Amino acid sequence: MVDAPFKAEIAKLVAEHHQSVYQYAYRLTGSVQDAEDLTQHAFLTAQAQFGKLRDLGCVRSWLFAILRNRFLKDKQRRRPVAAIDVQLDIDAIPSEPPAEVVDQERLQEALNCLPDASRVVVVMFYFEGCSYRQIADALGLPIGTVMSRLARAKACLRSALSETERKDEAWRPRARFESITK
Amino acid sequence: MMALEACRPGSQDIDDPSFAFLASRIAADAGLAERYECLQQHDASIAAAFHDVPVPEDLADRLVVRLAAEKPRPRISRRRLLAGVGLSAVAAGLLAAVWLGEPNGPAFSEQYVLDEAIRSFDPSRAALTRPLADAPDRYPVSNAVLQAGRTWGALRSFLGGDGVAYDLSGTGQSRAILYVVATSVDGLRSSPALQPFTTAGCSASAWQENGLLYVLVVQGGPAEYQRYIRLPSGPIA
Repeated sequence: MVDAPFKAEIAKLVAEHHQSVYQYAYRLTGSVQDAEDLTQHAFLTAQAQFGKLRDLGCVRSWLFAILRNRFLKDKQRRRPVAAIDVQLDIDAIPSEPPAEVVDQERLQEALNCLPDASRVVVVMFYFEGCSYRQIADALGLPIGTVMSRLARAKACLRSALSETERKDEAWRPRARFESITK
Repeated sequence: MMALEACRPGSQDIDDPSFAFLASRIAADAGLAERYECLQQHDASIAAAFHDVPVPEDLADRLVVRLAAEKPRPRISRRRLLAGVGLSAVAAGLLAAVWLGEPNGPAFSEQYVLDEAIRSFDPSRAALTRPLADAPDRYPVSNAVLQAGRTWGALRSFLGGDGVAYDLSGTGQSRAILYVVATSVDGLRSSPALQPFTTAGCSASAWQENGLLYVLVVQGGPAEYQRYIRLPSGPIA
């Protein structure tokens, strides 16, 4: 069994990072069960390799990297990478500010539609706040690939989110009419 | 357009020298500047939603319990491990771990056994190749398992003992391996669990039967796993 001071260090690691690690894992997997599995894996790996960690300030990034690597490794076994068929032109850039706050469940539905490799890139961009250079370095990809993948994935995400907004708009008038007639 | 999308919301990315061309175009084109601002607002809104994920209340406690139960591994390099163990008979990508055995056997936890078996399970590799008729009688397939097994391979020093691995996979079914090891693990059930442990796209269960350790690993979820075990009759609890 591990000694008491080490256990305390690990408990502190969990207390400080389990929420963000789980949220990151959830955004990658879209599933509560898979996110918990991935989170558990990240902390087990972190515990096993804790002695190799030189800079405690990098723990969060390190945990996220463990998550990403495991997620991509699992996905590579199951299905090939698909491409996003989205035209990259000025019309893909929104010309008006967002109409409303983005619902987190709708966001996950939109994320689930992305290919896994693209999902990782947008999660790194939005969740971690990584620059395209940092994403390229972390994933070992050419900068051009990251920029292309990021642009397409973001356009796809916005399109999916605006699609669900339009569907919700179609519901609202009918709901008002039903409440009046009751 | 890709450069516009690459600018993080609320950041100074536009001031990056590599984006100088974009900055000058935005300065010269009011329409483009407006689009850039709209995009930044959309990105900020999406970024805020990214972190809005409810976290299970007891997750931290469960993680701490799980981590505390993990047995630390001895520090032996992987190359020495592989050099010390003959792997040729095990064609399904099994990773053999050499443990310094204690007189009464190593004190593995059930979770450790499951993790090790899943870690060794690789459904993309070639199947075990030895015909079932040649399998040693001292490592029989458990009666709790529905499939008889098609091929097998030998295990050396796996989870503290020697044994065999049976490939149970049928045509059109998920890959499944049954590990049978001459060792005992305290506290294990005497038959496969109805609800398996699932992780990394696999489901697994470990049990002790007639002095042997059995570990069933199936590619897939509980439904795929349950196709390989004898389910109890009557309502499932």
